[in-house]
This record gives sequence, C-alpha cells and structure tokens, in this order.
Amino acid sequence: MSPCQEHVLRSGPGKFKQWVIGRLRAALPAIFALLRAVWPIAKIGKTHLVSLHDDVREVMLTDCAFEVPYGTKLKVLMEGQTVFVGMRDSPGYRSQLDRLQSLARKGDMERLAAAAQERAEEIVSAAEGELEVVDTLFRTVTFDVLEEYFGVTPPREGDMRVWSTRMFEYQFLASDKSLKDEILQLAPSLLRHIEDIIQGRLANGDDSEDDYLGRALAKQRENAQDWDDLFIRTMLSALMIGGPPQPPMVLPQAIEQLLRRPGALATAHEAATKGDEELVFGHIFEALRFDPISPILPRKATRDYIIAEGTRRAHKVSKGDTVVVAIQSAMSDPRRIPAPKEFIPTRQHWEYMHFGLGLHECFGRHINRAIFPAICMPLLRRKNLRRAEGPGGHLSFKGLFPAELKVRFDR
Amino acid sequence: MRLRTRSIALEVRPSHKAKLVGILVNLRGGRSRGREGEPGYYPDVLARLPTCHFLSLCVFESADYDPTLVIEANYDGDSGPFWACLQHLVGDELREALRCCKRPLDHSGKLYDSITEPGSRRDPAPFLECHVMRPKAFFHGNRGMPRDRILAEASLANAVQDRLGNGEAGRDKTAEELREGLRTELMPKFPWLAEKPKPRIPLGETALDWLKLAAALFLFLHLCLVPGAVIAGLIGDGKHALLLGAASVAMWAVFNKFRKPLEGVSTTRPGLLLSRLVSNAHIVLAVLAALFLFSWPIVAAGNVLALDLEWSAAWKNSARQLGWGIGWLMLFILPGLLVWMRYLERHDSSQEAPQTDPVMLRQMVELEDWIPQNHMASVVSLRPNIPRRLVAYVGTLLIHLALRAAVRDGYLGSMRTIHCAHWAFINNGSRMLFLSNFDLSWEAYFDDFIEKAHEGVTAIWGGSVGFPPTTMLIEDGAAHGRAFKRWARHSMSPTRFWVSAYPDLTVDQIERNNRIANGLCARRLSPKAANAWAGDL
Ligand code: HEM
Repeated sequence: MSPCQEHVLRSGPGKFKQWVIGRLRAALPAIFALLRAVWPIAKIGKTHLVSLHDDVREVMLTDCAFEVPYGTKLKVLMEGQTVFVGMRDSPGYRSQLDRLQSLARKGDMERLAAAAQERAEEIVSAAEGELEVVDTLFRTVTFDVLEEYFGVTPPREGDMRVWSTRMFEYQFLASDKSLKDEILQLAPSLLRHIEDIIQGRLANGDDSEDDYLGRALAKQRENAQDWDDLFIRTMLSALMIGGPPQPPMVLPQAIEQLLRRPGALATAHEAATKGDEELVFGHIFEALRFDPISPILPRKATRDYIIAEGTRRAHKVSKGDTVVVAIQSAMSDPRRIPAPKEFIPTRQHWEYMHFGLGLHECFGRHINRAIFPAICMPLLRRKNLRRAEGPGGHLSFKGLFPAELKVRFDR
Repeated sequence: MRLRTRSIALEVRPSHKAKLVGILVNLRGGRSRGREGEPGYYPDVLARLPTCHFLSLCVFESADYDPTLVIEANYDGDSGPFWACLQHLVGDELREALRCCKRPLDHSGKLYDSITEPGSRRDPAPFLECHVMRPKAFFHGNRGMPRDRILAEASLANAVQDRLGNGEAGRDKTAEELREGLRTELMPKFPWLAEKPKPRIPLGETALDWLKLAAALFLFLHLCLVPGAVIAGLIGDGKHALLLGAASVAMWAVFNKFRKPLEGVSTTRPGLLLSRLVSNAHIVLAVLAALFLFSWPIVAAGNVLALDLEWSAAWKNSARQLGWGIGWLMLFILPGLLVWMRYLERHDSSQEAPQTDPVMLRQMVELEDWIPQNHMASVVSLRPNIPRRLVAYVGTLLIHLALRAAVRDGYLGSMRTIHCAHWAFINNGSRMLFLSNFDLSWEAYFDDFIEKAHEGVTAIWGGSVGFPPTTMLIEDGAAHGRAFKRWARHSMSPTRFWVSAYPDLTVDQIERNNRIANGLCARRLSPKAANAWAGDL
C-alpha cells in the first residue's frame, strides 16, 4: 500500500467488522433475490426497502413524493448555502442546475477523454509490469483531469484528494464523531481554497475559458447577479466533493469483477486493443452491475404515498418515512432485466441505474462516460492482465472504500 | 429460447380514436429510418427490442363495437424484459395511447389511473402485463428459430452467396469439396460453424406437445363416454342394445337427411368430413382403443369406490360400461352433435356483401406490399349459440394442440407462408381476434387459404357472424373464395405500426438458410447429403 493511500482513506474499521462488511456485500445479490421473491417492499419501523425494478423506478421517478435527504449535511459542508444536489424540484433547483450545465461546452468530453487516457498511459507505461491501481492509477488520473477541467487547482497546503474523499464520505456514507470533527476543519479549507483561486484569477485578469471556473467567471462578467463568487465557489465545491472521489471507488470494483471473469476480461482486452471505447465502457458498467458503488439510495417521503398502487403489493408510505431503493436489486431483477446473471457488455442504457434516475440523476454522467474507458483502456490493452501474487492481488477495502488492488501484465 | 406470441386488447374511448390513430401513425413516421415510411423496416426500433420478431399496433374500428387498441408481440424469451424494452422504446407514446383507452372496470383500474394521471411517471409495462392475453391458438412457421439465429444464418447465407458469385467458383468441385471449402473460408467470420447446431424442437418439447394433445382429446372423449356408461348402470344389456339401436337409427336417419349442403352452398365434394373419417378409420379405431385402455383403470377405480365392488368384478363391469359408452359416443352423441350443428348451419345467416369502409380499405391497401411480408389484423364477432361457441373454444384449442404436435416444418397443408399467426378471444370471449405475419400479398395469402387450407379455416371461423355458409363444420365456408375474402377484409383494420425483425426473409428462405447453416456446421457429409445440401445454394 502506498504511503499517500494510507492517509487519503481513514484507517477503516477493525478486521472483524471489515470481514463482516465484505461478507454482507457478497451476500447482497442473494438477499435482494430473496426480498424480491418474498418481501418486495420490506418495512422495518419507519424505513421501507424497495427491491423490485418497477418499484425502484417508481420511487426514483416520483420526486414530487420522495426527496433526497442530502440537504442537511450539504449545508454543513457549504457553510449554510443550499445546493441543488439536496433540493426538491423547484425553480431554484432548475436555475442552479441550468446554470451549472451551461458551463459544459462541445468537445469537452473528447478533450477530457484524451487527457485521461494520456495520463493513464503514462502511469501504466511507467509501471514495470506491476501496478497498484486504486490510488496510483485511478485516483491520480481522476483528480488530475477533473481538477484541471473544473479549474480547481490543488492546494499548496493540504491534499485535495483527502479533502474531497473525506467530505464525500461524510455526505453520503458516515457520520461518526471523529469524521464530523475532521469535516469542521476541512470544509472551510476547501471553500477558502476555492475562494482564493477565484480571487487569484480575477486579480490576474485571467480570462481563459478552458475550465468550468474560467467559463463561470466569463458569465459573471455578463451577469454578475446570477454568477456571484458565492454561487461559483459553492457549485465548484459541490462538484469536487460529489465527483472525483467516486471513480477511484468504481473503477477498482469493475476491474476486480473483470478479473473474476476471464471471458469478460478477454473481450474487454480485445475492445481496448481495438480502441472501441463504447464497448470498454459497456464492460465497466456491466462489471459494476455485479458490485455497484452504491447498492442502495435513500429517499424521504414528503407526503403519504402508495408505492405499486393497483398491484397486489401496493404499499403505503407515510410522510416523513425513509425509503431505501435497492438499485443493485433493480439492476438484477429478472422480471425486467434480460438474463441478469449473465455478463452482457452490450446491454441497453435503461438496464443500469449506477448514475441514479430521474431528477437527481448524476450530473457527472457524461464526464464518467468519457473518462471511465479512457482511464481503463491503457491498462486493459496490456497483454495477460492478471492479479498480482499475494493478498494485494485481490481488491481490499477500508470500510466502503476500495483500498488496494495490485495487477500484473506483460510489458 | 422459446418464441412467445402475446396480444393485448384495450377498449378505446370513441372520442379519442382519432388521437390514438395519430399517435400510432406518428410512431411509424417518426421512427422509420432508411426507407422512410415503409412499414416493417425499423432498424432503430429493432435494435432496442433485441428479442422481437414481429410487433404490431392497430386500432380496430367497427360499427358494432367501440374502437379497440390491439398490441401484438412475438418475441423470444421472457415476457417481463420484453415489455420493459418496449416501454423504454415508446413509453411516452404508450402512456398517451393508454390515456385514449377506457379505464378498465376490473382490478386494474387503479393501476390505470396511476399510470395515466397528469404528470404520472409510472411505467406502463405493469398495466400492459395485466392485460396480456395468451393466444388460444398460434402458429409459428419457423418453429424453434430464435431471432438471433435467423439473422445469423441469413448473414451466413449471404456470405455463401457472395463467395459463390455467379457459380463459377464451385463449378469443378464435388458438393462436399465445395462445402468444406466454404466452411473453412467462412469459419473465421462465423465461428459458431464449429458448434453443433442446437435442435430446434427438443425431444422433451415434442413429447409434451403430444402429451397435451392426447390429454385434451382424452378428457373430451372421456366425458362423452359418461352417458353410455350411466345408462349401462341403469338397464340390462338387452334393453340397452334395443335403446341404443333405436336411438342411433333415428339419429342417423335425421343426420342423413340433413348432412348434405343446402342448395347454392356446396362448393366442394359433399361428404368431406365423413370421407375423411372413413379414410382415416385406422386412426379413429386406434384413438378409440387408446380411449378404452386409458379410461379402463379410471372407471374400474370408480366402480371400486362408488359401487364397493371387488377389483375383478370392477374390471369386468367397467369394460362393459366403457363399451356402451363408446357405442353411444359413435352412434348417437357425435352424430347428434353434428345434427345440432347442421341445424344451426341451415339457419345461420351469412353476409354476402359486407360493407368495408372505403377509407379504411384504402389505408389497408396502402400499407401492404412494401416488403415481401405483410401483416393482417382481424376481429370477428362469434355466433351466440352454445354449440357454436363450444366449437370455437374447444375446436380452436384442439386445432392448436394438433398443429403444435403434428406440424414441425412450418407447412400448413401445402402452404408455408406464415411466420407468426394467432387467434385470441376478446371481450369476454364474444369476439375472435386474428393476427398474422405472412409472406407474399394478402390476396395470395388468402388464395392459399382458400385452395389449400379452407377446411381448417372454416373450422376455426365457421362460428363467426357473417361467415360464408358452412356444411358439417369444415366444408364450404372459406371455399366460397370471393365471399370469404370480402368477409375477411370487412373484419380487418389497418395495421398502424408494424415491425418485422427480418423484413426481407420469407419462411421458406429462413428454412433454406437453416439447412445451409446446418450443412456447414457438420464436419463431414456423405456424398448424398452433400448433394442435397448443395441443392439449396
Ligand atoms: C465526474 C464525477 C462526478 C460528478 C461531478 C458527479 C456529480 C453529481 C451530482 C452533482 C449529483 C447530483 C445531481 C442532482 O442532484 O441533480 C450526482 C448524483 C449522483 N451521482 Fe454523480 N458525480 C460523479 C461521479 C459519479 C460516479 C462515478 C457515480 C457512480 C457510478 C455517480 C453516481 C451518482 C448517483 C447514483 C447519483 C444520484 C444520487 C441520488 O439520486 O440519490 N456519480 N452526481
């Protein structure tokens, strides 16, 4: 394990707890299959777990009755500012999202993909037949290219990878006291850092529009009210927290799944060799179906609602209840997904929910679509890609974060 | 992977008919690529419905009932994923189409509401599934051929054709040399040539088909044995013989009087049904013997339980009861049913000049003959009498089971032009829906029906209102060619949206491609088999 890897991730739970998490993760497909068959909408206290494909879609698409519960923590991270990620559908939500979307330009994705592929190729070529992929390849490339794309340069003091990853963990995965304490330090650091970058660019008269920040500042010159500094820094910080920590979680899990399936690895290698990035992406997405980064997503009922109304499993949810949608289960529900146990890298788009669905569907999905294959292709192109010997050759976790995976290949 | 045929029929609000037709027409116009506007050719749709063979959507219109939306789907494999694919392809249009339909009065009303209410984002697939009908009878011309295999073999056949060019390539080679050469050449592009082709109809499926037919026949005939067996329990053999003799002579006398067609009705050789029975007497006898043998233990057990007999006495008594049962079945019940049927046939009305809306007729004709395949959709009302309905329901089921068991090569009689066809009963069984995907023009298809399969067609449609006059269930009827065609056209509605997964292939071509592919898969063929194989090139 590389020394910097050591501090990007927190030390993780004890060995036994980690073992239990691992077992639970592995058992999830069977648990979900059982739930789908006997208790498709399970209720425990005020929490409802939805596991059928149809019902998961219904909850995710009915945002007028089910909101995302991210607002409170986001406020902590953003020093009281509201961000669309935690908002209900409203003019405010649409306005923030539209403004942010307007920063993307034609040709961005090709540029990002090229940059990611170049950087990944450098790293893979430099490795002498053996490579630790989680940190050395996936985290490095993701942060490098996204920091550049968003215009959020690394801080002189501190480590952006640590800041983003911790804040992502706090926002979506954990709330323990030590993490909260750390967040109270880190959140202001990130915000101040972005504010400094903005001020620096304004002071320098830098009017380049290569990155999100440059484009946002250009918009500010036209419409200062919609694009004030506070809005720009809040959006950029939301992107840095929600975005870069995820590919280093997703991609190692995908590679691990491919290593478990020699047939799929061989076709992924073939696709990468031919430069067929669509098919490479198909392999990554399909591999993730067997071990998604997020098997479930949370929602809060904003009014009384009946899920699956008109069917025998119609189920009442009261205002204020928590609804957990099992997207992993939905993506392997044989009632809707053709041959869910088979590895089919050419599935249709709708068969996946890795990026969520409906109102809060991942903002970064196009970015991911571009960089996932670009980062993986240099590695997958290598002949005889295989696990390294020893325990490092199998993906290990720290809590829910992939920690280490070493692979070997012929140079 | 099994080919499934399903349909959905939903009543449409009359005020929304035009809107619904507009939605379906837009579906066609907006989606076709390449040969714009031509029905049957939608590569983009087919890519997103990867298991679909044929899909059609139409709105039936008639003065007799409110418009009806019918969705027909023929697809490989499981149903849930298919409806999900369809919903992701045309979900918004489906929701709009459902909004034009009447709210169902049954349990699915609530589901309908939640899918069609303004702003709803609920998926329409679960509602469609609530209304999916299994066909009462269906026919698949290329049975056991999944779509992927049909397409793969078609592309192989094209590659073979390309290699052979004008025929020079194989001129001085034996058939086996030619085959081996092609196999080696094509193997890299078609690696599956190295595998043994999967049997199209597995042995288990064949056995199940015959078992189902036998069970249905047995149940039906076994029930017909009851009257004879009961009488045998009530009176002695002497009196029983006298009774049966008198009843059957009387029945046969009436039967004989009525069995001939009425004046102006006969088109074929009269007495077709009887001559069929006589020429197949050995089969009839075998069926009766099997009926006896299989019924014997059941009836004997009944005797032991109900009459408290010893087994030896029960065997004897049940044999006697069965003997009388078969006697009554053959000498009284079957002729009796036919007499009843003849009575109805003699009083049925048939429509000589049904009115077909000229606009609809034009629309139908406009949509036909763009590709080598065509589609037809028809709804007819069933005559109300019990025996007619019984023949329609039971007869359709038996014909289906018989076709399933006996027809393995796609030939109906001597015609092989049907890809997927099916019959289903809608509106509480008061109407019969027929949907067919066939080769050649509609005229040729019906000429084939009239010339080569009119008996089966008459048996199935004879119980429909307005059908040309029939005799003895299978005679005349569809053989009144022009009247039958007029009647059929009148029952049809234009297919507003129709997709075929292999629009350029006929049933015969698919079979030929299959033979070519199977031949190329073989490592070695005998000279005779190789010559037969080369005959297909
Ligand atoms: C470039 C990196 C990424 C960025 C910038 C990004 C950004 C975002 C943002 C801003 C949202 C909220 C959208 C909204 O509320 O309208 C979101 C949602 C989401 N993202 Fe991403 N994301 C990134 C990578 C990923 C990755 C790699 C995954 C997993 C494969 C992912 C999965 C999701 C999911 C599941 C949601 C929906 C959450 C929910 O509905 O509860 N994201 N993303």
